[in-house]
Amino acid sequence: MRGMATRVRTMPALFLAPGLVAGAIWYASLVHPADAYPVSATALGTAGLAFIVPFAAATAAWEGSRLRRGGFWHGPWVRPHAEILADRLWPAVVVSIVAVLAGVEASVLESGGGLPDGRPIGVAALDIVAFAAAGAATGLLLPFAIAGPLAIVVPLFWLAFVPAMDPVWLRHITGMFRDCCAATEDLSIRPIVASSLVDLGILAATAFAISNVTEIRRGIAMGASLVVAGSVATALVAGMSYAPTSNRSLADLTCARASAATICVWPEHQADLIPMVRVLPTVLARWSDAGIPAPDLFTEAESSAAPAGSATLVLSGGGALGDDGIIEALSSSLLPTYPNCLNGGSTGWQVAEYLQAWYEAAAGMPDASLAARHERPFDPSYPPVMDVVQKLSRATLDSRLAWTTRVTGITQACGDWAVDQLQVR
Amino acid sequence: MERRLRLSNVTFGYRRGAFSAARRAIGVFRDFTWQVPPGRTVLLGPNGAGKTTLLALAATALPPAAGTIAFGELELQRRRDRTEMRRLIGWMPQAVHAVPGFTSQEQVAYAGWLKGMSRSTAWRQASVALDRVGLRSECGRLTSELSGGQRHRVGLAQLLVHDSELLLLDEPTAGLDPTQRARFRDLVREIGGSRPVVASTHQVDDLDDLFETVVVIVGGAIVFQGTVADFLRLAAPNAPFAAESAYASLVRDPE
Repeated sequence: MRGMATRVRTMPALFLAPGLVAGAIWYASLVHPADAYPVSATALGTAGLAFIVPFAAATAAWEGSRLRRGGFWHGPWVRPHAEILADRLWPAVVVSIVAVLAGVEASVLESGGGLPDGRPIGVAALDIVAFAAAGAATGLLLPFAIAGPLAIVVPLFWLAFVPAMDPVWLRHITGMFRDCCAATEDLSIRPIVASSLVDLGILAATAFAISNVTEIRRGIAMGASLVVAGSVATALVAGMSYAPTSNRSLADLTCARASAATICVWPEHQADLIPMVRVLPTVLARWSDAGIPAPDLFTEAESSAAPAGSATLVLSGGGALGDDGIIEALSSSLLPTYPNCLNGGSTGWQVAEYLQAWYEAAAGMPDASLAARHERPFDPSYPPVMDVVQKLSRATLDSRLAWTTRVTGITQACGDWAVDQLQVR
Repeated sequence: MERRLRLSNVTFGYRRGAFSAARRAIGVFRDFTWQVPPGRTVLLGPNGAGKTTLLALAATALPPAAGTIAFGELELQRRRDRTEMRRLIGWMPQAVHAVPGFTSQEQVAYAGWLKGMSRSTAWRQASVALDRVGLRSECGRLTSELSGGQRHRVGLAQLLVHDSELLLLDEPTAGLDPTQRARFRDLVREIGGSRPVVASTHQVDDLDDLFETVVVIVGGAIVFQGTVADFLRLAAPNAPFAAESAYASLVRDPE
């Protein structure tokens, strides 16, 4: 149809679309989402909003300015203003949403696949619509020489600078969710609602800005829309950490019984479950022989949400771990969590590698794999990891227990420790 | 039966000032009543007399503060009627702006779409309208590249692209040289056909046999309405320029 040809020729949103989509894909390739976790991949994939939304706003400002300069806004037209505006804005909005989707898809593919999550995409789309409408209104009211730069700078500030400001939770009202999510986390409902509210406030303020009411009423209505939406939104997210997350629902876990223990993994790691169930009984038996106590639950759930006494698994790669990778993940889950040394000092977290290597060796990991994983200690003044492991293998049960207790103690204390405490006695 | 546009007891004023407290209404019309005569009408008056405002009110581009505007059985106050009025009344504002990036056919077609036509019909009719105003060869040229006279004709094509029953032309010959003005008048005569046409001007020498009725408006009030012959009878005896003389007799301070 002729109308489409005209649009492609005259609308910057359309003839610049290939560049925007390519930019979104390139930008998404710079972020590194959690393995095969679609929520994380989708949220990180929308990080391109920082330049996609200014694009939408600026191209919309151009269309608004075109309507104003051509005298096509205030005329006695048959079509309502909303339809005229929608007709000019849909290309900018659609192209921007396509760019977001392209970025998301690139991120999801990078992470290992899966279906993108609709929530970050929905908020991103609302961000685009709100700022495109605001950009168009700016173009309708101001010369493009002012409206254009404004339409670029304001959303850029909103999406790139506000997320870098204190308080850290302020970022959760912008729709920028690039700090979501570790495998144990889900996107919290609070930032979703807060960001959507702000977008609706911007849309309402835009509608008032181009309405026919008097300037003073218009100003009050615009201010009220933004203040009310902003206040409710900030109240919703105030006090959150920098991450727009909450604990992932335990109901998402898939569990299987293996000998005396149970293993629970997130859906994206379900392919690892069968080999883990196969390997775990042998590992448990060997740990028992070596005097290493093992829990009866290995789970990927966040430690604060998991039952007490369970081991926290951290898996990466879906179905590609191999036996050594499984032993490494199981051994890692036995490591203690480190305390927060808020009153000074630091934990001896560097020695955790010795514990891990010992658990791996005891579980039956071949020496070659062990040596490859623990070639050099954290510090050259520390004893070689493999030397310590070999001594432990030859040591008595009491000696091993004493060593394990001593080294675990180093990781839990906020103070000095001596290197010879690593030696097997 | 031909629909007639009627303004009854219309009051309208522009507001000035950024804030309500400092705003004041600049009155243009108060209890103004007028019915558009049949045929071609010229609206004369000095700058600021209210010609542009009257045409904008008639075109429904401005809402009256009080009073009613009706086109036949259609009333401005009724939303559905207003839409229909807008479909039936063609208005060419004083300035015809080039839409950045649009060719003349795209600009005229867009005006047709805004007037409620489908895109494909508007595109076809734009070509026909540009042909009628003698711009067929310029269909593919950017409107911004056209001369002032050609741009006026694009404005006229925007008016013709939809099938109006009443044509309102605001200062259609302003800024045109004498040759372009003569050509434009011929065009208005041709395209007007049997439809009522109202054209405003503050140039008395625009008055010629194109028009059947003369309306003189001063300070928001009609001070004369009659045939061209009646108007010319107001001229001083033996005045070398009868139209100017007649106009001067009605407008004391014609700037």
